[in-house]
Amino acid sequence: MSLIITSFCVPNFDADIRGSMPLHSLLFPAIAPPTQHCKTIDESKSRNEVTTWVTDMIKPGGRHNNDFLNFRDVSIVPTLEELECDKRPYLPLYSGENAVIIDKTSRLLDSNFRLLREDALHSMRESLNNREKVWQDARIIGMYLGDKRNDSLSFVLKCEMRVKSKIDWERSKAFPLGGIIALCKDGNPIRIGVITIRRIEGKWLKSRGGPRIGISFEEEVAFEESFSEVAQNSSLNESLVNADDTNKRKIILSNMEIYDLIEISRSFFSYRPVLTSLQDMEGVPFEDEFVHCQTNDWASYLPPCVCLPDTEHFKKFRCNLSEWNEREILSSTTLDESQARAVHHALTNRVALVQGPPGCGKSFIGALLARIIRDNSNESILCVCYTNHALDQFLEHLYENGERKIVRVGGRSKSSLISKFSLRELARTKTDLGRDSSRRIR
Amino acid sequence: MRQEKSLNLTFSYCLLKRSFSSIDAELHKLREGIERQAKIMAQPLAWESPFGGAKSILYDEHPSFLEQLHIESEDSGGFQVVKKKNQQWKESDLWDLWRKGRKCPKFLQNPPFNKHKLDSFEFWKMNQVERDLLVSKLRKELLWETRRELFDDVGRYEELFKEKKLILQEKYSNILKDAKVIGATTTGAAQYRELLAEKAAGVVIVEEAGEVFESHVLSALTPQSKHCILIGDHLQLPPKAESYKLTCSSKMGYNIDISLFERLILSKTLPSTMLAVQHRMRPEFSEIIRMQTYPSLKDHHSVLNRPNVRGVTHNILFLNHHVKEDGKQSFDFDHQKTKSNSYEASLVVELARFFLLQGCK
Repeated sequence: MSLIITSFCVPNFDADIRGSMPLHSLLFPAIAPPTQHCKTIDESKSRNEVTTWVTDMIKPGGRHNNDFLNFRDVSIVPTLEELECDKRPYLPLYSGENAVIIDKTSRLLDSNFRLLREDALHSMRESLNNREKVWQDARIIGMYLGDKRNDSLSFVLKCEMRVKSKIDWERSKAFPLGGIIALCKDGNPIRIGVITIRRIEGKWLKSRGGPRIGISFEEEVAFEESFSEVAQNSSLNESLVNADDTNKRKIILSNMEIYDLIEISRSFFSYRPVLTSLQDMEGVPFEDEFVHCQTNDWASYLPPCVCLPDTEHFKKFRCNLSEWNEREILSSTTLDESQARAVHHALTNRVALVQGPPGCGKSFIGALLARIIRDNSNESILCVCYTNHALDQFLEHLYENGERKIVRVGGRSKSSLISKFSLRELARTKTDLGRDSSRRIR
Repeated sequence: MRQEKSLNLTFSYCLLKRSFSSIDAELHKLREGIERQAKIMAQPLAWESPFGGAKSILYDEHPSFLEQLHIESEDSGGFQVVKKKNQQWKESDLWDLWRKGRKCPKFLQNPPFNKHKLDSFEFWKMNQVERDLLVSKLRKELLWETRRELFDDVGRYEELFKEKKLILQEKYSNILKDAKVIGATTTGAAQYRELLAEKAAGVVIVEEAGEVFESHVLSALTPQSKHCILIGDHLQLPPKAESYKLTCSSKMGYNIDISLFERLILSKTLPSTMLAVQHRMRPEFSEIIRMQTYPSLKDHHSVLNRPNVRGVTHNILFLNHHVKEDGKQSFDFDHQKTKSNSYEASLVVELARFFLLQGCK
């Protein structure tokens, strides 16, 4: 998909000038028309006057070495130059006033990417400035090939624990995999790294003298420099581990390349896959609805008449979707009026929106819809939840209703029932089955 | 027919397993090699070592410097220079002295033990900084070869790892093929995007849709998705943004915390539906949210006529206290930002105990 960029010229303002006038009328007649979806904001929200910054109008590209017109060119892990850049980044406004892409579909991806990434970067910039999570005397002492999950060479980084305190590393959220750290020398950050190894049993974090982690660098210069430091530091580090005398330690440390390590993001790992997949997407699914907010003439995969589950509440009620008879469904099932309507709405719209106030049975409706779709079609269902807890509940609900063809993707299920269905667990047990039966064949 | 199929399946699993273990073996071998090389790289620059030391690199690159570390083993009269305990002075001793920034010992500076006046040469005139620089340069030259080998191996390792991942992917997609319901968190769905795209589930149900960033929903969908059901409530919690300036309340106009669900409902051009009967709260409770947010909310008959809560005068009570949160501990080395209020915690425990003693279940 190609990006179409409108040509508009923006004066380069030195500082942030705040103006409460609607900017599009003042300065930029050639800006792409606002997207339709952006016009309507909830009444309570539109009453709040939005003030835009003139610098919002400066198009993306050229602020630093990771600022590009096309969001697909942006490296997801930020560069040091980017984090230290004092110019405001280009961020698409909800109103579409400062849009640079005319094609609404591309623009939707662009906006989502840039805003989500800024959400991650904003707190990184703050932690870089606030210096809250600082570990002292960090040094690169070796290289290590990651274990199962990592496919590349990492540098081993060791920090010093000056204060004798016990950290419960099993529970601690420090140094998460995929987290971002910065190495600082004399107060200036000089390298940005991604945490690649955090092994607890294998003593990486718990190791003597201070935690050890594996990190990788995206920028080539950082990689080269770290590479040459390994040699210098690693032999000294051994003598450091054995030295108990504070003075002696100081002398040894002064001969090493040491840094202050700042944890600048502990949450980046959760942003990264989403950002990557936005960059990989070639179009927006459900374009009519998501981009243009229009309904789609939908040829449903469901039969015109669907059968509800065989339980005391629904009694295998056959529900005609094309000739909807509300009275009939209300008298034959225990659904209330709004639930019955929600079921009909969800099964007859390509994009269905079901709003549910607290206690109204949102998850009940979700599970019911999943069952109806399972019973009446061949389609498989992907269920997405924000939290692990909600996902487990949803799947448990389906399990209790007899569903067995469940797979839960991604680890971290706390439900003993559902963890059996995790992809990794199934992959393990299935291979074992394969081995058993092959033995039988022989 | 069925048996044949299962045989086939077993066969393919065996094949997978075999290639898996052969890849693993090769990976293991490479790994050992890489670790050995990494260890070599980590060693300090010795005068002589099996992997090449300072001597060999000086011999290759800086023969004039090597000459300046030279000691004649005997003078013409057959005398040797010895240090304590009658050990012979060696080039390596001289190298160590040089490394430490010392001068060349006087007795070695002149003939008969050396042809040259060593101290007058540039090599011994270097100060500590220059010497350190030279050493690190030598190291780099020495490591160049090891490094090249190391990188070749790492490259091969990465390739093999990719292969292994592909096999794993194959295995995973085999499992997913049979699945009818696939569950994932938004992060998980993005992580396994390729795998899920291959599976191409036709129906996507998003729960808690009002709490999820639009980008999270988009990345969970694939071009093969036919039907998308968003269930949520935009009047409850919005997606949680880390950056205040991006939220609606900052009034800067970026509005990252408007979820896809909310945006579509607010567009008013798309049909939506709302559940209206609550099955959770007694009417005193639901009255509060009815007044504030959901004027059309109805109570299900099961929540009516519930017995009063035992042991208290009202069924809704607000409890206020003025005890502040626990202060930050003297040093919070783990940099955790969690807050606690032990007063409130013990209050809740006591309240729970009280209600249990009243016979509440």
